[in-house]
Amino acid sequence: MRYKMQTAELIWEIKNNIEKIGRSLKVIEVCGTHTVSIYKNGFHTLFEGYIDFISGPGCPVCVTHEGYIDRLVELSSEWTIYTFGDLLKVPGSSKSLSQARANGGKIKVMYSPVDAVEHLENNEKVIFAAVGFETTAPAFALSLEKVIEKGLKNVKFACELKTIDEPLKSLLQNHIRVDGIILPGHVATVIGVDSFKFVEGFKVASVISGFEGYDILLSLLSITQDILNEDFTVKNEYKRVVKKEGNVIAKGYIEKYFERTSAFFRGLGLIPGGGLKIKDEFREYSIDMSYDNTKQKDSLCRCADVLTGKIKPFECPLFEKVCTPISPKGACMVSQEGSCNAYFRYGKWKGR
Amino acid sequence: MKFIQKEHGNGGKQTYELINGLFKPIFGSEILKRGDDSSIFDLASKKIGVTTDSFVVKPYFFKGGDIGKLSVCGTVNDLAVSGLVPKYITASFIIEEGFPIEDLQKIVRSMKEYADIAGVEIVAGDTKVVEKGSCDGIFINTTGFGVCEKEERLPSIEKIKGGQIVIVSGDIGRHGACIYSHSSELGVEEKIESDCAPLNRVINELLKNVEICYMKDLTRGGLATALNEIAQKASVDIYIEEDKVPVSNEVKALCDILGLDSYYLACEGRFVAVINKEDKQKTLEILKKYNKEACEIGWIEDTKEKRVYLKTSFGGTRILDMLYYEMLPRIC
Repeated sequence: MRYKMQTAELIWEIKNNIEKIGRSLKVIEVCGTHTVSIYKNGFHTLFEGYIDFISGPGCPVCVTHEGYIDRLVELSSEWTIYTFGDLLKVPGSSKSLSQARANGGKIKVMYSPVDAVEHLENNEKVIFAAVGFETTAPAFALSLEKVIEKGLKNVKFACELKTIDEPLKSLLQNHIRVDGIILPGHVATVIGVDSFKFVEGFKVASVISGFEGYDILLSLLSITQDILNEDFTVKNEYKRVVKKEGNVIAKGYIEKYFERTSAFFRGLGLIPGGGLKIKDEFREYSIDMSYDNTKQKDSLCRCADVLTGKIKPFECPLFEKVCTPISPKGACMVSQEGSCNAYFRYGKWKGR
Repeated sequence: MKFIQKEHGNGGKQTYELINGLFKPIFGSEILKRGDDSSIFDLASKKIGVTTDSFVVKPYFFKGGDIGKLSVCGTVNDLAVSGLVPKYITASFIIEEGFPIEDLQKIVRSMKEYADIAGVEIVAGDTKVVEKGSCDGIFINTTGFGVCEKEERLPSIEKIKGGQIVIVSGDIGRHGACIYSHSSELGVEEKIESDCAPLNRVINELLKNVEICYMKDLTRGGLATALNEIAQKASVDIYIEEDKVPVSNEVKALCDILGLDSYYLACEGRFVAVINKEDKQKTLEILKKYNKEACEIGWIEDTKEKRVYLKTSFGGTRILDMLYYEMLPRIC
């Protein structure tokens, strides 16, 4: 009961702050788990007229180029591809990994690359589809370490890992004007609060947030107070998990095995320093995944515009008509944490 | 250890031995023992209901039940929520060669146990054996026959109207969560117990004491899908309060870990009922005798959008849609 009272007070205070600001706010959340939490808790209707929620490019599946999928499909005739389930249905230019598997491609779903390495046979020809931000990068680094320890010679990593800072800079610089940013809690547990200091230069209220509904409300309160106070320092509302310096051990693993590289982000294009690749000294465990990122299959899909906040999922001509979680036409509909998928499941509202 | 062989399905001596040595003694029905091509029985009723269902669950033994128990409960429950008293069941088996006979015995005994609990008789059956790899262990089809005891008591979609309330008979999502927790790939150590159970006794008691406007058992697609079907068929809107929907902590935890949604997880021993407000106290009194988690979860509105709306704990509202997708694990 007390919790309900506190929640009601919080909501009232957020709305009251926005009334003092005198206009509705644009708030972008970068992480797919936040997107789901916002829609699942009905915040899009609770704050209707007060906050316009925009989903940014923080879902690793959604920002992946079809060229990467095409390469994996090609390789699956010879190698066993280990992938996270979310990547299965991402459309390549001709087929998805799921369709490739149906046609005899050797594709296995993994839940943890570290566990998967434990069960590998000595001579098994395996490629790990390494996709994700700094949250999953340490797990792939640890897997690589185990592969080296076990002396497995036929295991490679198809590295498409991303970093969060460079795409966020590009987004704020070139694509969007927002009043507040909800920063990704999972990534922050690894890289720490200090790694987000660069956001302060954009004069945008920002806060590292947890994922429960209550966490999101605390973060919205923080954003509205910062706007009123014109205080643009990065706040941490996820103190129970996120430290100033982050997870030093996890960061150490990333630094030991990976280095920065350019990476393609759907909606943002090629971002220098936006990705991670395996260091040269371990290159025998890396497989060449180069693809032409200037080529995109012609499609009416507007994923790129959704990811940069230019349109809402329901404004895409394909949304719900031909693009659904069952037959996704774009990556944002594939992942359970993609903007379109989250909107499809939880965000739909009367007349839109 | 003995295993099912192709010969068990060829209609000859070994088929005869399997039927007379395993199925008939366990099921124990006099009608079945006659071994005729059709089972003949009396159903003294103006209205008779029939339902059929196939069961392909994997694993076929799970915490709180097995494919045999499920095949009886599933069919009994389909009859019960239609307002019928289940009387007779048929059972057809498709078995993969190499299937352990000991497992088959366990499954058949479990069917008999739950048929007895539900008060139904298994009166006909069939067995087919297929080559290794043609089916995954064992598939069962059951067909059930039930009778209507009081026609005016039959629940019907036409009886649903605005102002009525929605009741759920217990906590949701246990069966789906149970099957997920058994998935070897996920490495969930503590298995969740399925809610698989026959519902005909509780429903029978309800029908004798209160007016149940409509009922639906929660199976594949879970609570959300069942409510959407009701909203569509009855052309009404249904409002559900998140805070009131009973979900156990273990199911919640599994959903959090795997990125599942409890509203869409299957149940095999739960139902929703639409009743008039004045019947609430009596209905819950009866339901709580069988499951203390039974409670009111929402209400019906005559707004005809044919939607299900969820009032969230924080005071927001969102549309609770039908299950539209395969639940895949999260990437991060």
